[in-house]
Amino acid sequence: MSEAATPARIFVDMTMLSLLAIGGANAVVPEMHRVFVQNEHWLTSAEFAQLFAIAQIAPGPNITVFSLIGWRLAGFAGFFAASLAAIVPTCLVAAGVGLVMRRHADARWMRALRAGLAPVAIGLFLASGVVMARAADHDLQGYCATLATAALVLRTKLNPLAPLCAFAALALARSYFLLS
Amino acid sequence: MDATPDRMDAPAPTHTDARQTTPGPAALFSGWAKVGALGFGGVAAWAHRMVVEERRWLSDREYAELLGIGQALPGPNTPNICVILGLRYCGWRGAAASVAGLMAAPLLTIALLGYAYDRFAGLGAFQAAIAGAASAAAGLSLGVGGKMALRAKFNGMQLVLCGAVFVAAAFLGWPLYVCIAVFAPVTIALAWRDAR
Repeated sequence: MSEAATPARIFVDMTMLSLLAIGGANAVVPEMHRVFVQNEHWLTSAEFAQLFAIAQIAPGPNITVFSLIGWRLAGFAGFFAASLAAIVPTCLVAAGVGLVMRRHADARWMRALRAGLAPVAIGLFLASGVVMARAADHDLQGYCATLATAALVLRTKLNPLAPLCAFAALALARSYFLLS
Repeated sequence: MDATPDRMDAPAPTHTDARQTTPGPAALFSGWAKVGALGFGGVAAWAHRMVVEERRWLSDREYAELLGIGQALPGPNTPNICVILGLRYCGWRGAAASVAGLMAAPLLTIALLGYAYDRFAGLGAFQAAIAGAASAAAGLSLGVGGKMALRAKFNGMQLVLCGAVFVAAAFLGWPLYVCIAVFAPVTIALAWRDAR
């Protein structure tokens, strides 16, 4: 598969990818596929899809898909290189922007920038819910789980972990029922 | 519901609200560690819950504004937010504590999953449970997004543009950076006009 996938190469490729990820980790998924599957031939398309699904499900920012791919390609060193590349460069950029924001917090342009980006941010946030639902829901049970959780979160103070666990348990029970 | 009272005199973290608290590095670490550990299906919804509802570091409005910055910056949104917030409250130590907290549990989990990848991939029951949780996680994002939209106190034009971004990203397949490039100049120009 991957003699060429050294930690150094992984670090360079992943740093480029994470700096391209404007709008979040999921925004670079197509580009990641192009780099790792088509250009470098480090992963098959099926492996990429599986690793992506695991990272989506595991807790944490979706950027952990970088670490998982790094692990797959080069073991612990790859994991370490990929995690550094995923986090450090973009956090330094964010820190720089944070310092500028703090210095100019009350400037008119900064207030306009913050207030102006808020509606875009919320529109994108809601859209990510739809995109996730489209990927996750394949039957009536899925749609019901999505809608019920959305309603509970919107209308109650219930800890969202409760519906998450409940619907996982329900799906598990149903799969046993269907298999037996 | 949380009408932001008029500014107090302290200049450093602007927009402070009497009800809100200012965390130290330990609180930053523990708050973000919880977000990281619980964040099934992405951490964005959990981050909002922790920062706004549980710890009350920011109001809904401030959070939405910070989310906008986090999205427009390169890299993952939530780590960007956690760096900016950590820096604001406790400088570099705060930023480092926040990122370390956020990433600790997820990286550990992902290392274990990477290790167990071949064994996990085949388990039908495991996949079924994960799929159920993934459906609920999508609902979590929709619910939190709806909450943020309801509480952000947008004016009519902002609501229309927020809806347009939603439709473009969710149903027209526009990539995120295209949405930002097309809509942000309009929304920022409108905010510039309204800012005094």
